[in-house]
This record gives sequence, structure tokens and C-alpha cells, in this order.
Amino acid sequence: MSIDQTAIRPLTGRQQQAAVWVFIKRDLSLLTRFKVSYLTSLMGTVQQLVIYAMIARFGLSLSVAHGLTGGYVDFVLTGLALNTLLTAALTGPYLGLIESFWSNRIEILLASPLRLPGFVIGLSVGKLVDAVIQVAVILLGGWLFFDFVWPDGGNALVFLAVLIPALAAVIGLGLAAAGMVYLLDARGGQDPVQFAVQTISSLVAGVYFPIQVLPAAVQWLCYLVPQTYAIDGMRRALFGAHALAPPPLISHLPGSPLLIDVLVLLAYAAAALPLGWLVFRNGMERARADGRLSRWL
Amino acid sequence: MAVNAATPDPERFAVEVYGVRKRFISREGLPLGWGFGDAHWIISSLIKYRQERQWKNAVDGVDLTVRRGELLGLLGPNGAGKTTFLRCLATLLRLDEGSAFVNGYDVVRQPDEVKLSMNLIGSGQWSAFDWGLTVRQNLHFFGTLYGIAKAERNRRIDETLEWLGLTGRAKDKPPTLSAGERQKMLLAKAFMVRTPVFFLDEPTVGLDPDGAHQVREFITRELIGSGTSGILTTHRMDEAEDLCARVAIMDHGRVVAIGTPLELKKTVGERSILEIRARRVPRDALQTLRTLPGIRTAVVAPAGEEGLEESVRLHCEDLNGTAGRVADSLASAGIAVSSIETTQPTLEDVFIALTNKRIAQ
Repeated sequence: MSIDQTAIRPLTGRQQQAAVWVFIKRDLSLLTRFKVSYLTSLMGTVQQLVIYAMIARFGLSLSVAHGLTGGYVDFVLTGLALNTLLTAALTGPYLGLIESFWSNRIEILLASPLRLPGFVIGLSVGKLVDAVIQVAVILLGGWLFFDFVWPDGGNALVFLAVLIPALAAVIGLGLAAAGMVYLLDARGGQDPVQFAVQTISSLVAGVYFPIQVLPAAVQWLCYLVPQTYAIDGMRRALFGAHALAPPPLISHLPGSPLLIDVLVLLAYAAAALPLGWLVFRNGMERARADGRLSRWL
Repeated sequence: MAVNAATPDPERFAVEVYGVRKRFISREGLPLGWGFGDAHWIISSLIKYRQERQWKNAVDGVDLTVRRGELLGLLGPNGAGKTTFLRCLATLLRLDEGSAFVNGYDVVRQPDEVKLSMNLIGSGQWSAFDWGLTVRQNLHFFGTLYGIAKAERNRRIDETLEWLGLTGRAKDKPPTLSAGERQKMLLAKAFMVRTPVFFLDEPTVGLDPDGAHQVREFITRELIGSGTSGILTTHRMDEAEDLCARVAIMDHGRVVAIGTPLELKKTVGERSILEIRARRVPRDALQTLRTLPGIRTAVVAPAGEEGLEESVRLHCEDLNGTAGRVADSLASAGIAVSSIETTQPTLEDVFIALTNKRIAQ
């Protein structure tokens, strides 16, 4: 074998894309390796779906109380589906990083020509793909068995106008959470950023119940996390701009609640993505400096 | 960070290192056994943030160059700083001082170019493979990270697996492979990519003699034979001597000597080593030997057929009469000696002469 001693060639954009794609293929292959376990985990998603559908049948008359044109099934399934996706975006970078840390894969990946953005996308993207499958199960199950009304009046552009900045904002928070692995030595499976955002979003972002039912003293918390605007905006995008009563603060602002949601999400994304990246990169640099990048260092 | 203004010479050198220093903070936790039980770990981690930071130099001012087409051996005991040094070159650790160039690229300012130029094969890195994927799938994964097109990737994987005798294991998963096969898989990953520079960090550690021989044979044939450059760290003298044209000896983060094996051995003196073989040499007898006139140091190592004997190597300033004095001293201590003879210095003797200790301690 003759090894070429000529100058090196940086990876092209296409090669970087191929590298991200190979992470997805790898993650899907690993995800479905133990088929029974994977199917069982999907059953967990179905179980969640059934619980909320039954609660809806039990007689929650949210449509009357909060101006929902659809029933509780539509309300909660939209919340569940988007929350599943946003949770994967939030936890993906952190989980991917600690997985690669504890498996010692981080060293071999960071010594490869993969750049830092490609590295973190590669580590997280599989979790997003998994979340998309779960979302499909939630929506399909809801439609087949629980009268989930598939939105027909929703505008695809509005849908994307909510989804893209929402994902960008939450990924920014996720990157900050991943930075905590090294900045705060949070290598044990949980970190303060992820914990705070997840706790707030699951309790007060309007995933399972409208924000208005919360005690007034804690309602303000919902405005801190992008999930609130994302879930509210998504419901409006899918079921019509006036399908439900807006969160209290938004209802006092002039203009369409959907537009406010999108603007807040855009502002959140514009701030969270670069800040999250800065925190993540600083964490990695700190680890390079003090030798904690991989478990064997 | 102080970086000197060295200018690389990539035509001549594959690796250039000037005054590289890497230090780590070490903080002592609570001593074990204070009776806190499981709470020890909590208390210890709380206290460690209040303790004074102590810096430990893992790499302490290393200067060296690797010529084009040369495999430089980096020899030293565990903890000498060999792996830390390689990780600095591989951009996994940030230099605290000095400058280093790999394939002419600055490891601080041009990390992306450095990563394209080199391949690090670390001891124990096989654990980084995905155990749910086959050997072939794992190699495809890493080949893609290096931007190798699919058809070329397939060809190289086939070729490399054949060289390494792993063709029959291509569809198997890493957990079913032997330790030697896993190490070969790591080599396959590296050689499939074919970077101009290789860093081999103890590539035969943990392998049986046959597996180690196969890996060495592969390195000789495919790496040295192709004129590729690199650094090989090891604490096995025979390995360094077999594979490397030049050897650098490292201890406590410093390169204490560098040269061809022959040059290094000459620094000890050609006939200055006395080797004693005995069933057992008590430590107090060893201490007595060290005090005899003409003896610089005495180091013991298990050796001999089936490990039944110990081998004591005496580094002597003057062999005249020394053998007799040694024999008398051992006889008076009641030690039955199998043989006392002068012997040629090895690289281990060079290390002992420089540091007063064995590499394999």
C-alpha cells in the first residue's frame, strides 16, 4: 500500500452532509437492533396517547372553557407531539455528548476531520429522528382510534414558521445544556439547564392543559421557555389562528397571538442558538484545556 | 498561552514540536478510610473545590522532530506523558506552552488541517466502536467521516480487512472479536483512511505474543514500508527497537534522550552491564549490591525460563573486579547464583542509566 503524502483536502459540504447522514443511519440501525425493546418503547408512547384520549372521553370540556374549537384530544395530542420533538431537540446534544463520553467514542470522533458543528449534529440527530417516529405514532394513533382531527385548514408555511424557530431556540438551550457537561462537570445524566427547561415546559408550557388553569402566581414561568410559544403557535397554525384562547400575557398584547408567538420564537432562536453554541464550544475548549474531554484522559 | 514563533518545515519533517508543555490540575480528595462510608464521595467532592490547586506537568517542555518517512519510537513507563503528548498533537488537548506542527500545520491554529493529516490509534480505543454494528458497518462509518466516497470506501475496507486477516469477520460485531482482532480493527480504521501521519499509542498493549507480532508485522509492512511518518509510543523495548529508526525516551513528561537505538546504547557504555541470574534476590541484598564500589545502580526484573529466576542488572562504572565483589557479596548473603556475566546494554538499560528505574515498573 502506498500512502499518499500529498497535501490534505478539507471535507466538502457534501462530505460533511454525508457524515451527518451516516450518524442517522448508525443511530437508526442501533435503535432498531433490539426490535422487541424498540417496539416496547413505542408502546410506551401509545400508552401515553391512550391515557390522554381517555381523559378526554371522561369529559373534560376544555373547548367550552377555553375557546377550543376541537376537543381535548386535538389539544393534548398537538402538545404531546410537539413536546416530544422539542424534548429531543433539547436533550439530544447533551445525551449524545455524554453517550460518546462514556463510550469513549468522543476521542475518536473529535480526532476525525468532522468539525465541531458536524460532531454535535451527528450526536443529536438520531434522537430527533427517533422523536419524529414517536410523533408519527402519536398522531396516527390519535387519528385512527381517538377522533384526532387531522388539520385541513392549517397552512404549511405557518406551520414551518412556528416549527423552525422553535427547534432552533430549543436546540440553542440544548447546546447550552451540553456545554454544562464540562463547564459544571455534569456528566452524570442530568444538568441544570436541561432540568430547568424541562421542568418548566412540562408543567407550565401548556402541553397537557391550558396555561390559564395554572395558579396566577406560577403562570409567569411559562413565558420563560420557548415551548410555550411553540405549542401555542403550533395549535394556532394547525387549527386556526383563533382556535383557542391565547396565554394571558399574549392576550393583552396588540396583534395576532400567532404572530406574537412566531416573533418571540424568532427572537428566542436568534439569542439562544449563538449563546448555546458559545457555551457548548467553551465547554469543549475547557475540557481540552484541563484534560477532561474523554474518560481516559 | 505562550507559543513560540517556530516556522514549520513540512518538506523535511512530518512532526515538529518545540517546547511543548501540558499541565493538569490535581486536587487531593479526602483520604480513604476516614469512616464516612458512602458519604465520603460527597464530602470529598465538596471539599475538593476548596483545596488549593496543584499543577502537575504531564508534558514538560518537549522538543522533537519526526522526519518524513520516519517512525519515531516514544519509550517510557506508564505515566511518563507519552499518551498526553500524542493527544496534544492530535488536538484533543490544548497546549499550555510551546508550538507543534503536524504535516506542517499548527496544532493550535489549524486543528482542522491537523485532523485531516493524522490518525490517532489509541490503546483501548476499540471500545469506541459501535458494538451493535458489524466490523464492516463500523469501518463504513469512520470512512464516511473522512470523506471517502462509497465505492472507494468499499474497496479500501475489503483491501484492509484482507491485509489484516479480518475478511472472515467483516459481518461480525466487535463483542465477538478477540482482543487482537479488535486492535486490528482499530488499525483497519486508521489504515483505511491513509493519512500522511500516524500516531500509534501502544498498539500492541493487551495482545498475546502472536497478536502483537501480527500487529507489528502489519505496521512494518504497511506503514514503514510505505514511507509514512509517525510516532509510536510503547513501553516495550523490543517493539521500539524493531519498528523505529529513532527512539525518544520519555520520563516525567520530558524527553531525556533521543537517537537511534545504537546511539542510545552507546551512551551507557558497551561493556558496563553485569547480569546476575538467581532464583531470588532479596531487596536488602540488592541494596548492599548498590553500595559496592564501581556500581552505579542495580535493578531487578523477573526473567529467565518460565519466570523462575530473577535477573538483576548492575550498571557498573568499572567492571574490573566488580564481578568478584558481587559474587562474594551474594555468597555471603546465602544467595545461590545461576550466572554472572557481562552483557550488551538494552534500551531498558539506557532508561535505567538515565532515570535509575525500570521502564516496566
